[in-house]
Amino acid sequence: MTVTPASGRGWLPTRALHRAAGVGGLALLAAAALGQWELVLLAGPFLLGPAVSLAVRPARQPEATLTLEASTSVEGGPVRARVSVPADPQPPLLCVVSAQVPRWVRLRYGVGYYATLVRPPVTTAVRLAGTALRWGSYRLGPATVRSVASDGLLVAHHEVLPSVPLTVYPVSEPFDSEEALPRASGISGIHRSRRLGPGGDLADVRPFQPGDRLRRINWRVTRRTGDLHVNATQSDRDAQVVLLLDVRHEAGASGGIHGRASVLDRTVRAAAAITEHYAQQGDRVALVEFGSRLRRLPAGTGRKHYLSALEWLVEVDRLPTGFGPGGGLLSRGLTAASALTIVLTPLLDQDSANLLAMLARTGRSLVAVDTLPGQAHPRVRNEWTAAGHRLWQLERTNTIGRLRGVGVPVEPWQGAGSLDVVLRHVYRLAATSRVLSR
Amino acid sequence: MTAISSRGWRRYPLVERVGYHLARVRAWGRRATVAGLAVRVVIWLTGLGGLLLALPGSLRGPALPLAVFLALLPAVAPASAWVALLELAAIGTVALTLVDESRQVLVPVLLAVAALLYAHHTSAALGAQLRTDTVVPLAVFRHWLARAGLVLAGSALLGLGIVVLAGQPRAGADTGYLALGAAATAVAAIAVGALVHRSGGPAGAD
Repeated sequence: MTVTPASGRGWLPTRALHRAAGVGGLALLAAAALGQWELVLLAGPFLLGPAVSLAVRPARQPEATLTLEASTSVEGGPVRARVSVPADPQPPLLCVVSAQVPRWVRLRYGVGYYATLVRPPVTTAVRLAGTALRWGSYRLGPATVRSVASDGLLVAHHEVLPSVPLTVYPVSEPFDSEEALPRASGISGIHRSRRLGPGGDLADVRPFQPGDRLRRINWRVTRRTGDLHVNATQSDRDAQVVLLLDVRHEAGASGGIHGRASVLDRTVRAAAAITEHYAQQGDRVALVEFGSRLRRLPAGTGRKHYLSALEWLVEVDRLPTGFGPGGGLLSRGLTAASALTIVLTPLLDQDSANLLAMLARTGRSLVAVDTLPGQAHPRVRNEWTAAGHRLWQLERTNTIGRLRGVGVPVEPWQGAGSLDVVLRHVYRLAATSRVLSR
Repeated sequence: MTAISSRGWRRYPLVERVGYHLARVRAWGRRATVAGLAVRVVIWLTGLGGLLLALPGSLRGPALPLAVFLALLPAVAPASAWVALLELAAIGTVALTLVDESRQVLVPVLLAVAALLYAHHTSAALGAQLRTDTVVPLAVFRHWLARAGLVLAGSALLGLGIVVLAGQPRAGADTGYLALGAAATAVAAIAVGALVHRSGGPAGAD
């Protein structure tokens, strides 16, 4: 993305020009007044220097542009921008660039102030190279360019280059679940369904019926029994996964990709990893955020949907006075009854626990992912902090235990395979409830 | 880091104030670049050298602490009036030494003072445009140095020519010389003004 500002204005004399003229003139006057012509040696450079510099003064100041090489990056990935100053046929200029850089972009060199010599005929570029430390939607800039001509004697008005948008996607923490989803419901996918149909896994061998395809005949059993038998297979289905992001509270300090993770960091990175895993294996993944607003990303699958989810995730924000979890999630149809619902929550208040209990009562396949980082602690510290924090932890542990008691598995997010155990548990739970209902 | 304003100065204990300023200095130290600091060091060294060389040899020792302090002021604030004051002080000292018949100032020393003062002036002009945390490529310094060298060489030749043509220095002022000097200064001022304001003036012009 390139932004070209309006044309700049003219040149202004600096204090250095006034100083050179003043010091040189006074030295010359002193030489004449005192009859000491050696003082001309001191006055000479102060008068000759400006004369030489101003004689080849540039006609106008250059028009710079701020360009971002790629408007998207990923946590830990590079961010490259450049301020290009065109080289008009004019004497060399000193350009001083100051760029405002987002907090979560660490520049490789300097802190945002750069000087460069603009010499024709080559267009000069000041490179702003850095690393994106945290996911989010930022703006790089605005940048200010100040052109200095005639060796510091003339300066142009500040040229302000508007900021450019920069999106940093969350890095997907490795997540690789090998467990089948409990309620496969689509018409194609990788999960084995209990329903018989065309698929890869052998379920049974049964007598031939009109309509069976000839290539399904099991010749070995047919020869042994003397009657035509065919292989019955389990159909392959996809599943829907709904991720509920509880971002009403932030806890723990965020240190970027290489530092500590806050609740928002863990929530967004875990959501990105789970979405990547399921969307790329063919399942439909929907995301719902309740926090500063109630946002929803409709269910979709494939890599394109994963990229859409990343775009959606960088807009996640926290505002405690926003939408709370409640019946609205069900009444608005935000969570399909047949979907596997994964709630990413720090379980910092009773509302979150109530939501989980309510979803469990509706018979949904439900997994809660605890996103509270271990290093989170109260900001204000006094002699009662340790005891109070301990009490709060005990109460939270008790809440988690009660949730497990009503059939809500709660698992802390730990990356690769951390949900496998829980998913296996949910799968068995779903199978048991189905058997009991019969 | 919360800023300690001048109004809330008394509310903070001394230790907190010292810690606050130490933290600010540390933060500045982390941000500063070698090139940004080098410009300030050059301003300081050239100012110090110009002042010391301008002084008679017998006064250099006693005046050293004061010269070190005076040279620090333009280095810290290169856009301030301290730069001009230091240069005028050095030139005034040379003028007084020249007037004093008991002392002798050699031309090479004058050339060295001229070179140091001009280097002080031009490095302050550069330093006024650069923060100490600015990343500056070497090309900027090369260009600046080359131009300053050319100016110094040209002005040295011109000045030596004028000195030789004018003959031996005279004790005291002469009305003719004074008029000539005033005229030369006026011509120089007009020339500089014309160069600045040519082509419709610098400010507001495209």
